[in-house]
Amino acid sequence: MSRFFEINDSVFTAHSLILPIVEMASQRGIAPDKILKGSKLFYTDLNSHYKKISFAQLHTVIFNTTKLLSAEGISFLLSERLFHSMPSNALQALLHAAHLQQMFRVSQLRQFELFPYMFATSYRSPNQVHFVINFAISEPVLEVRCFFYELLAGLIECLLKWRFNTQPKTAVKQHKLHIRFPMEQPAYIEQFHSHLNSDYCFSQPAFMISLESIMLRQKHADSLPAMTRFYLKQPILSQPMIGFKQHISQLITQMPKATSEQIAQQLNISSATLKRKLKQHNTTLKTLKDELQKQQSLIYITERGYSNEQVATALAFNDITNFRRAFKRWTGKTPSELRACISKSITHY
Amino acid sequence: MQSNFLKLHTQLWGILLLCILLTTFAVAALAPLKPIDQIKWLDCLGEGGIAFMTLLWLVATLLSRPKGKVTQLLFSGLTAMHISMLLDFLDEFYNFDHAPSWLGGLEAFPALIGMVLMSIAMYFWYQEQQIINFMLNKKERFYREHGLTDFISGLYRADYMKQQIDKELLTLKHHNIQFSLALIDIKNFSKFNTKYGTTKANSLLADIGQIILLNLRDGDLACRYASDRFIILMPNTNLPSANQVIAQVSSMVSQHTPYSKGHTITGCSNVHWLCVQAQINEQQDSLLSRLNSQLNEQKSTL
Repeated sequence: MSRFFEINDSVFTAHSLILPIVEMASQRGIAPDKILKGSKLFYTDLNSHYKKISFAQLHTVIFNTTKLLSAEGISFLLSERLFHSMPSNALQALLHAAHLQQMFRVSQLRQFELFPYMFATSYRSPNQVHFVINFAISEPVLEVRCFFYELLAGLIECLLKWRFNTQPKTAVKQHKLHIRFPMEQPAYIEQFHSHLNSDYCFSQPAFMISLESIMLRQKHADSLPAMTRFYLKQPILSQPMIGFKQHISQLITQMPKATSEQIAQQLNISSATLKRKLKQHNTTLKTLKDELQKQQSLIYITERGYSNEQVATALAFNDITNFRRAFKRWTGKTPSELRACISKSITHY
Repeated sequence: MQSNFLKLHTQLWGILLLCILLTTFAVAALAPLKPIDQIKWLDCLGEGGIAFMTLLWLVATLLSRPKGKVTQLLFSGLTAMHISMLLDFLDEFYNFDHAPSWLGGLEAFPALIGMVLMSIAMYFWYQEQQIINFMLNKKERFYREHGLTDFISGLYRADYMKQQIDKELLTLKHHNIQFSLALIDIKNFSKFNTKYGTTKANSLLADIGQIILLNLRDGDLACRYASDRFIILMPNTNLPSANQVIAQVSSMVSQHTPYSKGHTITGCSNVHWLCVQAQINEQQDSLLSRLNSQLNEQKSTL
């Protein structure tokens, strides 16, 4: 069983995200104490190498940032910094990967070092691969969610830019991703214009990054997979851990029909404690189950072209009416409305 | 540019303090205290409030302005007004009837002088503002909103530009007056950022912003868009003339060589640029995404 950490566990280093945020804020005329307000952190803490912070503290700082510096594109600027300050062994393993698929595997293996805040689940459709991305520790509030969507999109953009900058430009063009943001188009759209080269769209039912399947296994001309293996074998400073929400989500994926008692049993806690912990992480077992089924059904319908019967069977629903009702609750649309929507947008293109 | 003028005005702060103390001591020495039951507390509150507010304006003036004639006039005028208000406030506690008659007569007099001085200050302030407005030309159009300023480059942010574009789109729709937009993107800015650090990169952005301003025509407007992009609005301009203007701007920008530890850095100021002309019935956001996607397209084919 993998180790997991909770929202109030101090497991992150302060200098990877919070220090650059504070620095960028003060360059823009916002004092550090305003950014750190409510996080129980002091400016001097940030320079200490041993100071560890929790996701709750990070959440507070990012929330303050989104309130004080909403239009400054801090999330995107931060992604560039983060890319350069990632732990070197994990980053080297990532950069030397043979192809995008190996890159994805490395990022899963070294998730805690690279980006422990979110996790991806991959789905295949005939020509494409889709990465559905969810939050790993707790479900943040809307503003912080948007910040993380932008942060991760920026980070992936940096990674691909670095990887393909050495190759002829035509190769870069083929590596266009399609990013679906579950947020509404923000007022600061200029930050997306300037920082993202990929295609993207807003107001989508889930945060999803898609690319052509052939791109996934296309070998990078100058990659050194042996280097990836070497760096993966290097000792890691901290035990690999995953966030609480990710852990529960993985248990649900393994046992879709599990009751809260069964999940609690896996964690060696009572179901009341599980309920309390889930609440602390701003979620419930039902929300997590719904999240998984909603995302699966979206892939089945929009990408694989399943009929309602097929989806209902795949998700082990007793009858189609039940499934349609649930789907409407998850997405606000019935399956057929969603299909109509997609065919309309295809003809639109 | 100094951002805090607190230490600049030590002399004026001294004079202010002296005036307040002098007034208070003069009143305390010359006039007897009123018995407690004669004090009208509501008047105290009102007049005390007025005195406090004039003091607040004084402090705000000194904090926000550099030294100079206008500042001195504003300071003198406000100080005189403040002394009048202070005397007004003090006469609630001291009995001026038993004091020398000139003290009572003095109550309104400083306020009059103060107001005259303030009026002169306003006249010079107007002239000063005309000069500053001239300097802000190309950075600002008809409308001032300091909240929309970008801290790094000193130009206005994209939000300001969006408002201006909306305005121009209306003019295009109703009066059919063409306008063009240009986007200027610094080549390899992220590499510069990693190599020389953010502080250097920020000052490069500020420099390039200034160079763009210098090379625009009167009536054009430049704002920072986001990241390493600048956006320029050219009212009453069609695409060929816009291209001409921006080609000139870009060649001037590429001449720029910043210094780092005594050495010049070359080749960091080359730019990608692209102009578009707005179409009738186009929306602001579709115009902006057209501009950006065309620039991205152009960047990827080069």
